[in-house]
Amino acid sequence: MNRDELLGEIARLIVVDPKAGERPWDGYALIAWYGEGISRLNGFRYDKGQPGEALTPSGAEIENRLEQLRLATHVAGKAPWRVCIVRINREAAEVAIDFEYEDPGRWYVTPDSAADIAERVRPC
Amino acid sequence: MTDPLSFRSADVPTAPAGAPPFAGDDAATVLSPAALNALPLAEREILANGYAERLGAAELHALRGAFGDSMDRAVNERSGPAVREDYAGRVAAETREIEAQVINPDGGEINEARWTVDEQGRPVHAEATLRTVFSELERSDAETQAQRDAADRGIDGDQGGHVFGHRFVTDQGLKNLFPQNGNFNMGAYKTLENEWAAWIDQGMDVRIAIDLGPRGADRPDRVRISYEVIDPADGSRVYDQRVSFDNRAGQSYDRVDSEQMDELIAARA
Repeated sequence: MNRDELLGEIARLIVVDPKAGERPWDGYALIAWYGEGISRLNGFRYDKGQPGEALTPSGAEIENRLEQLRLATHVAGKAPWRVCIVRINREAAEVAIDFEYEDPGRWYVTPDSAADIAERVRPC
Repeated sequence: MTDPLSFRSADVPTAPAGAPPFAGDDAATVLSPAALNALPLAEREILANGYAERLGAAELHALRGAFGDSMDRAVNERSGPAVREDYAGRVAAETREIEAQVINPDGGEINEARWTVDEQGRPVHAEATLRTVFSELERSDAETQAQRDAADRGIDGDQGGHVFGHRFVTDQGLKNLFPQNGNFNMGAYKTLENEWAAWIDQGMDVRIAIDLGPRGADRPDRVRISYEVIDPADGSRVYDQRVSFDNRAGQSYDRVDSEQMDELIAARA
Protein backbone atom coordinates (compact mmCIF):
# COMPACT_ATOMS: atom_id res chain seq x y z
CA MET A 1 0.00 0.00 0.00
CA ASN A 2 1.22 3.49 -0.71
CA ARG A 3 0.67 6.52 1.50
CA ASP A 4 -2.76 7.40 0.15
CA GLU A 5 -3.98 3.81 0.30
CA LEU A 6 -2.77 3.52 3.88
CA LEU A 7 -4.45 6.77 4.85
CA GLY A 8 -7.70 5.53 3.35
CA GLU A 9 -7.37 2.25 5.18
CA ILE A 10 -6.66 3.99 8.51
CA ALA A 11 -9.74 6.16 8.04
CA ARG A 12 -11.81 3.10 7.18
CA LEU A 13 -10.60 1.27 10.28
CA ILE A 14 -11.57 4.27 12.44
CA VAL A 15 -15.03 4.46 10.90
CA VAL A 16 -15.73 0.75 11.43
CA ASP A 17 -14.06 0.51 14.85
CA PRO A 18 -16.68 -0.67 17.35
CA LYS A 19 -15.43 1.53 20.17
CA ALA A 20 -14.89 4.69 18.11
CA GLY A 21 -18.32 4.15 16.61
CA GLU A 22 -20.22 3.45 19.78
CA ARG A 23 -21.68 6.97 19.66
CA PRO A 24 -22.30 9.20 16.64
CA TRP A 25 -19.72 11.74 15.53
CA ASP A 26 -19.38 14.20 12.69
CA GLY A 27 -15.65 14.63 13.16
CA TYR A 28 -12.84 12.48 14.47
CA ALA A 29 -9.14 13.02 15.12
CA LEU A 30 -6.50 10.43 15.83
CA ILE A 31 -3.07 11.28 17.21
CA ALA A 32 -0.28 8.74 16.90
CA TRP A 33 2.76 9.74 18.96
CA TYR A 34 6.07 7.90 18.63
CA GLY A 35 8.87 8.08 21.18
CA GLU A 36 11.93 5.99 21.94
CA GLY A 37 10.49 2.48 21.72
CA ILE A 38 7.11 3.62 22.96
CA SER A 39 4.12 4.83 20.97
CA ARG A 40 0.79 6.20 22.11
CA LEU A 41 -2.53 6.50 20.36
CA ASN A 42 -5.29 8.90 21.34
CA GLY A 43 -8.56 9.56 19.57
CA PHE A 44 -11.19 12.26 19.95
CA ARG A 45 -14.75 12.32 18.66
CA TYR A 46 -16.62 15.54 17.82
CA ASP A 47 -20.31 16.01 17.40
CA LYS A 48 -22.39 19.12 16.71
CA GLY A 49 -19.69 21.56 17.77
CA GLN A 50 -19.28 20.07 21.23
CA PRO A 51 -15.82 19.79 22.81
CA GLY A 52 -13.82 16.82 21.64
CA GLU A 53 -14.33 13.69 23.72
CA ALA A 54 -11.53 11.18 24.26
CA LEU A 55 -12.41 7.98 22.46
CA THR A 56 -9.51 5.88 21.27
CA PRO A 57 -10.11 3.07 18.76
CA SER A 58 -9.97 -0.46 20.11
CA GLY A 59 -8.61 -2.21 17.03
CA ALA A 60 -4.91 -3.06 17.03
CA GLU A 61 -4.86 -3.14 13.22
CA ILE A 62 -4.86 0.66 13.14
CA GLU A 63 -1.45 0.59 14.81
CA ASN A 64 -0.16 -1.82 12.19
CA ARG A 65 -1.28 0.54 9.45
CA LEU A 66 0.22 3.57 11.17
CA GLU A 67 3.56 1.78 11.42
CA GLN A 68 3.31 0.92 7.74
CA LEU A 69 2.52 4.55 7.01
CA ARG A 70 5.56 5.63 8.99
CA LEU A 71 7.70 3.36 6.83
CA ALA A 72 6.00 4.39 3.60
CA THR A 73 6.51 8.09 4.30
CA HIS A 74 10.07 7.79 5.55
CA VAL A 75 12.43 9.92 3.54
CA ALA A 76 15.99 8.66 3.24
CA GLY A 77 18.39 10.67 5.36
CA LYS A 78 15.65 12.20 7.46
CA ALA A 79 14.29 11.00 10.79
CA PRO A 80 10.75 9.60 10.57
CA TRP A 81 7.89 11.69 11.78
CA ARG A 82 7.20 11.64 15.51
CA VAL A 83 3.50 12.44 15.41
CA CYS A 84 0.81 11.71 12.86
CA ILE A 85 -2.57 13.42 13.09
CA VAL A 86 -5.47 12.01 11.09
CA ARG A 87 -8.61 14.12 10.88
CA ILE A 88 -11.92 12.94 9.47
CA ASN A 89 -14.73 15.28 8.51
CA ARG A 90 -17.64 12.94 8.03
CA GLU A 91 -20.06 15.37 6.40
CA ALA A 92 -17.52 16.51 3.83
CA ALA A 93 -16.15 12.96 3.49
CA GLU A 94 -12.68 14.40 3.88
CA VAL A 95 -9.62 12.87 5.48
CA ALA A 96 -6.58 15.01 6.27
CA ILE A 97 -3.21 14.01 7.56
CA ASP A 98 -0.41 15.99 9.16
CA PHE A 99 3.02 14.96 10.37
CA GLU A 100 5.13 16.50 13.13
CA TYR A 101 8.87 16.06 12.95
CA GLU A 102 10.28 18.75 15.21
CA ASP A 103 8.13 19.27 18.28
CA PRO A 104 6.22 16.11 19.25
CA GLY A 105 5.59 17.46 22.74
CA ARG A 106 2.91 19.77 21.29
CA TRP A 107 0.77 16.69 20.66
CA TYR A 108 1.55 14.60 23.73
CA VAL A 109 -1.86 13.81 25.20
CA THR A 110 -2.17 13.68 28.98
CA PRO A 111 -5.19 14.31 31.20
CA ASP A 112 -3.93 17.89 31.58
CA SER A 113 -3.35 18.55 27.87
CA ALA A 114 -6.22 16.53 26.38
CA ALA A 115 -8.82 19.30 26.18
CA ASP A 116 -6.42 21.79 24.60
CA ILE A 117 -5.08 19.30 22.07
CA ALA A 118 -8.59 18.10 21.24
CA GLU A 119 -9.47 21.65 20.19
CA ARG A 120 -6.28 22.07 18.17
CA VAL A 121 -6.88 18.89 16.17
CA ARG A 122 -10.60 19.44 15.63
CA PRO A 123 -11.38 18.60 11.97
CA CYS A 124 -12.33 21.60 9.88
CA MET B 1 18.35 1.41 -0.77
CA THR B 2 14.78 0.34 -1.33
CA ASP B 3 12.30 3.16 -1.72
CA PRO B 4 9.27 1.92 0.24
CA LEU B 5 7.02 4.01 -1.96
CA SER B 6 8.17 2.39 -5.16
CA PHE B 7 6.97 -1.18 -4.79
CA ARG B 8 3.93 -2.39 -6.69
CA SER B 9 1.70 -5.41 -6.34
CA ALA B 10 3.18 -6.77 -9.55
CA ASP B 11 6.63 -6.99 -7.99
CA VAL B 12 7.84 -10.56 -7.96
CA PRO B 13 9.58 -11.52 -4.72
CA THR B 14 13.12 -12.59 -5.15
CA ALA B 15 15.79 -13.48 -2.67
CA PRO B 16 18.51 -10.88 -2.20
CA ALA B 17 21.88 -11.91 -3.55
CA GLY B 18 23.66 -14.35 -1.30
CA ALA B 19 20.64 -15.18 0.81
CA PRO B 20 20.23 -18.89 1.47
CA PRO B 21 17.06 -20.56 0.19
CA PHE B 22 14.71 -22.12 2.69
CA ALA B 23 15.23 -25.88 2.70
CA GLY B 24 12.45 -27.82 1.03
CA ASP B 25 10.64 -24.84 -0.44
CA ASP B 26 9.61 -25.42 -4.01
CA ALA B 27 9.37 -21.71 -4.75
CA ALA B 28 13.12 -21.54 -4.06
CA THR B 29 12.82 -17.87 -3.25
CA VAL B 30 11.88 -18.14 0.42
CA LEU B 31 14.56 -17.19 2.87
CA SER B 32 15.48 -18.82 6.15
CA PRO B 33 13.77 -17.32 9.21
CA ALA B 34 17.07 -15.77 10.28
CA ALA B 35 17.60 -14.18 6.88
CA LEU B 36 14.02 -12.94 6.88
CA ASN B 37 14.44 -11.33 10.28
CA ALA B 38 17.50 -9.53 8.98
CA LEU B 39 15.52 -7.94 6.17
CA PRO B 40 14.01 -4.47 6.53
CA LEU B 41 10.31 -4.69 7.28
CA ALA B 42 9.39 -3.15 3.92
CA GLU B 43 11.31 -5.84 2.03
CA ARG B 44 9.81 -8.57 4.17
CA GLU B 45 6.37 -7.26 3.35
CA ILE B 46 7.13 -7.18 -0.36
CA LEU B 47 8.07 -10.86 -0.15
CA ALA B 48 4.96 -11.72 1.85
CA ASN B 49 2.75 -9.82 -0.58
CA GLY B 50 4.20 -11.74 -3.51
CA TYR B 51 3.57 -15.09 -1.88
CA ALA B 52 0.06 -14.10 -0.83
CA GLU B 53 -0.78 -13.37 -4.46
CA ARG B 54 0.31 -16.72 -5.82
CA LEU B 55 0.39 -19.43 -3.13
CA GLY B 56 -2.39 -21.47 -1.56
CA ALA B 57 -3.54 -21.31 2.05
CA ALA B 58 -1.58 -24.35 3.19
CA GLU B 59 1.69 -23.00 1.80
CA LEU B 60 1.06 -19.52 3.16
CA HIS B 61 0.23 -20.94 6.56
CA ALA B 62 3.46 -22.93 6.52
CA LEU B 63 5.34 -19.66 5.95
CA ARG B 64 3.55 -17.89 8.78
CA GLY B 65 6.11 -18.92 11.38
CA ALA B 66 8.82 -17.11 9.47
CA PHE B 67 6.84 -14.04 8.40
CA GLY B 68 4.56 -13.64 11.42
CA ASP B 69 2.12 -10.74 11.26
CA SER B 70 3.44 -9.65 7.86
CA MET B 71 1.97 -12.78 6.29
CA ASP B 72 -1.40 -12.21 7.98
CA ARG B 73 -1.58 -8.71 6.54
CA ALA B 74 -0.41 -9.86 3.12
CA VAL B 75 -3.07 -12.57 2.92
CA ASN B 76 -5.77 -10.14 3.99
CA GLU B 77 -4.73 -7.66 1.32
CA ARG B 78 -3.51 -9.79 -1.57
CA SER B 79 -5.07 -13.26 -1.51
CA GLY B 80 -8.44 -14.23 -2.92
CA PRO B 81 -11.47 -14.81 -0.68
CA ALA B 82 -11.20 -18.61 -0.67
CA VAL B 83 -7.53 -18.52 0.30
CA ARG B 84 -8.22 -15.89 2.97
CA GLU B 85 -10.96 -17.99 4.53
CA ASP B 86 -8.90 -21.19 4.47
CA TYR B 87 -5.87 -19.36 5.89
CA ALA B 88 -7.92 -17.77 8.70
CA GLY B 89 -9.24 -21.20 9.67
CA ARG B 90 -5.75 -22.62 9.86
CA VAL B 91 -4.58 -19.69 11.99
CA ALA B 92 -7.55 -20.04 14.35
CA ALA B 93 -6.78 -23.72 14.80
CA GLU B 94 -3.30 -22.79 16.05
CA THR B 95 -4.60 -20.97 19.09
CA ARG B 96 -6.84 -21.67 22.04
CA GLU B 97 -8.35 -19.55 24.76
CA ILE B 98 -8.01 -20.00 28.50
CA GLU B 99 -10.10 -18.09 31.02
CA ALA B 100 -9.62 -17.50 34.70
CA GLN B 101 -11.50 -15.73 37.45
CA VAL B 102 -9.67 -14.72 40.59
CA ILE B 103 -11.76 -13.84 43.62
CA ASN B 104 -10.53 -11.62 46.41
CA PRO B 105 -11.65 -13.37 49.60
CA ASP B 106 -11.60 -10.11 51.53
CA GLY B 107 -14.04 -8.11 49.44
CA GLY B 108 -15.45 -10.65 47.00
CA GLU B 109 -14.34 -8.67 43.92
CA ILE B 110 -13.55 -10.77 40.88
CA ASN B 111 -10.79 -10.18 38.36
CA GLU B 112 -11.51 -11.85 35.03
CA ALA B 113 -8.86 -12.69 32.45
CA ARG B 114 -8.74 -14.52 29.15
CA TRP B 115 -5.56 -15.50 27.33
CA THR B 116 -5.14 -16.60 23.74
CA VAL B 117 -2.16 -18.94 23.51
CA ASP B 118 -0.49 -20.51 20.50
CA GLU B 119 0.14 -24.18 19.90
CA GLN B 120 3.16 -24.02 22.21
CA GLY B 121 1.23 -22.37 25.03
CA ARG B 122 2.80 -18.95 24.49
CA PRO B 123 0.46 -15.99 25.04
CA VAL B 124 -0.29 -13.95 21.93
CA HIS B 125 -3.28 -11.96 23.16
CA ALA B 126 -4.91 -11.37 26.52
CA GLU B 127 -7.86 -9.45 27.91
CA ALA B 128 -8.84 -8.71 31.47
CA THR B 129 -11.22 -6.75 33.62
CA LEU B 130 -9.50 -5.86 36.87
CA ARG B 131 -11.45 -4.83 39.96
CA THR B 132 -9.15 -5.70 42.82
CA VAL B 133 -5.49 -5.82 43.75
CA PHE B 134 -4.02 -8.61 45.84
CA SER B 135 -1.40 -7.52 48.32
CA GLU B 136 1.41 -9.46 49.95
CA LEU B 137 0.78 -12.57 47.89
CA GLU B 138 3.26 -15.42 48.04
CA ARG B 139 4.27 -16.87 44.69
CA SER B 140 4.12 -20.63 44.42
CA ASP B 141 7.20 -22.62 43.47
CA ALA B 142 5.41 -23.56 40.25
CA GLU B 143 4.89 -19.90 39.36
CA THR B 144 8.51 -19.07 40.09
CA GLN B 145 9.62 -21.99 37.91
CA ALA B 146 7.25 -20.88 35.14
CA GLN B 147 8.86 -17.41 35.28
CA ARG B 148 12.27 -19.00 34.84
CA ASP B 149 11.01 -21.10 31.94
CA ALA B 150 9.54 -18.04 30.24
CA ALA B 151 12.76 -16.10 30.73
CA ASP B 152 14.73 -18.98 29.21
CA ARG B 153 12.85 -18.46 25.94
CA GLY B 154 14.28 -14.97 25.75
CA ILE B 155 17.68 -13.36 25.59
CA ASP B 156 20.22 -12.12 28.12
CA GLY B 157 18.63 -9.60 30.44
CA ASP B 158 15.13 -11.03 30.15
CA GLN B 159 12.87 -11.96 33.02
CA GLY B 160 9.72 -14.05 33.05
CA GLY B 161 7.39 -11.05 32.89
CA HIS B 162 3.69 -11.26 33.68
CA VAL B 163 1.23 -10.19 31.00
CA PHE B 164 -1.11 -9.20 33.82
CA GLY B 165 0.79 -8.53 37.02
CA HIS B 166 0.80 -11.22 39.68
CA ARG B 167 -0.90 -8.78 42.04
CA PHE B 168 -3.93 -8.81 39.71
CA VAL B 169 -4.35 -12.46 38.71
CA THR B 170 -2.07 -14.42 41.11
CA ASP B 171 -0.40 -17.66 39.94
CA GLN B 172 -1.41 -18.39 36.34
CA GLY B 173 1.67 -20.12 34.94
CA LEU B 174 3.05 -19.84 31.43
CA LYS B 175 -0.09 -18.52 29.77
CA ASN B 176 0.48 -15.27 31.67
CA LEU B 177 4.23 -15.05 31.14
CA PHE B 178 6.56 -13.94 28.37
CA PRO B 179 10.29 -13.27 28.06
CA GLN B 180 10.47 -9.59 28.96
CA ASN B 181 13.47 -7.32 29.16
CA GLY B 182 14.13 -6.85 32.86
CA ASN B 183 14.45 -3.08 32.70
CA PHE B 184 11.20 -2.83 30.76
CA ASN B 185 9.48 -5.17 33.23
CA MET B 186 10.63 -3.30 36.32
CA GLY B 187 10.39 0.15 34.74
CA ALA B 188 7.81 1.29 32.22
CA TYR B 189 5.60 -1.79 32.48
CA LYS B 190 5.56 -1.65 36.27
CA THR B 191 4.69 2.04 36.16
CA LEU B 192 1.71 1.22 33.95
CA GLU B 193 0.61 -1.55 36.32
CA ASN B 194 0.95 0.87 39.22
CA GLU B 195 -1.43 3.19 37.42
CA TRP B 196 -3.96 0.38 36.95
CA ALA B 197 -3.69 -0.49 40.65
CA ALA B 198 -4.28 3.15 41.57
CA TRP B 199 -7.39 3.32 39.38
CA ILE B 200 -8.69 0.22 41.14
CA ASP B 201 -7.95 1.81 44.52
CA GLN B 202 -10.14 4.70 43.34
CA GLY B 203 -13.02 2.24 42.91
CA MET B 204 -12.74 2.00 39.13
CA ASP B 205 -12.63 -1.08 36.89
CA VAL B 206 -9.78 -1.36 34.39
CA ARG B 207 -10.39 -3.19 31.12
CA ILE B 208 -7.24 -4.19 29.30
CA ALA B 209 -6.35 -5.85 26.00
CA ILE B 210 -2.75 -6.81 25.26
CA ASP B 211 -1.22 -8.11 22.04
CA LEU B 212 2.22 -9.68 21.94
CA GLY B 213 3.84 -9.74 18.54
CA PRO B 214 4.92 -11.03 16.25
CA ARG B 215 3.00 -14.25 16.56
CA GLY B 216 5.05 -17.37 16.38
CA ALA B 217 8.04 -15.81 18.09
CA ASP B 218 9.51 -17.20 21.31
CA ARG B 219 10.20 -13.66 22.39
CA PRO B 220 7.74 -10.90 21.52
CA ASP B 221 9.42 -7.71 20.37
CA ARG B 222 6.36 -5.48 20.65
CA VAL B 223 3.75 -5.26 23.41
CA ARG B 224 0.56 -3.43 22.46
CA ILE B 225 -1.76 -2.39 25.24
CA SER B 226 -5.20 -0.85 25.13
CA TYR B 227 -6.93 -0.02 28.38
CA GLU B 228 -9.94 1.89 29.55
CA VAL B 229 -11.10 2.89 32.98
CA ILE B 230 -14.77 2.30 33.71
CA ASP B 231 -16.82 3.57 36.62
CA PRO B 232 -18.73 0.46 37.77
CA ALA B 233 -21.43 2.66 39.28
CA ASP B 234 -22.80 3.71 35.91
CA GLY B 235 -20.64 1.99 33.31
CA SER B 236 -19.24 5.26 31.99
CA ARG B 237 -15.72 5.53 30.62
CA VAL B 238 -13.44 7.68 32.74
CA TYR B 239 -10.24 7.37 30.72
CA ASP B 240 -8.77 5.43 27.84
CA GLN B 241 -5.35 4.99 26.33
CA ARG B 242 -3.46 2.89 23.83
CA VAL B 243 0.25 2.45 24.36
CA SER B 244 2.79 0.16 22.73
CA PHE B 245 6.28 -0.71 23.88
CA ASP B 246 9.30 -2.35 22.36
CA ASN B 247 10.47 -5.26 24.49
CA ARG B 248 13.69 -3.52 25.48
CA ALA B 249 15.31 -1.33 28.08
CA GLY B 250 15.28 2.43 28.32
CA GLN B 251 11.63 3.30 28.00
CA SER B 252 9.49 5.29 30.38
CA TYR B 253 5.77 5.63 30.81
CA ASP B 254 4.07 8.80 32.06
CA ARG B 255 1.28 7.46 34.20
CA VAL B 256 -1.86 9.27 35.30
CA ASP B 257 -1.28 10.46 38.84
CA SER B 258 -3.77 10.41 41.72
CA GLU B 259 -4.65 14.09 41.40
CA GLN B 260 -5.42 13.67 37.69
CA MET B 261 -7.51 10.60 38.49
CA ASP B 262 -9.56 12.60 40.98
CA GLU B 263 -10.14 15.30 38.37
CA LEU B 264 -11.12 12.82 35.65
CA ILE B 265 -13.56 11.06 37.95
CA ALA B 266 -15.04 14.35 39.16
CA ALA B 267 -15.31 15.76 35.61
CA ARG B 268 -18.11 13.32 34.78
CA ALA B 269 -20.25 14.35 37.71
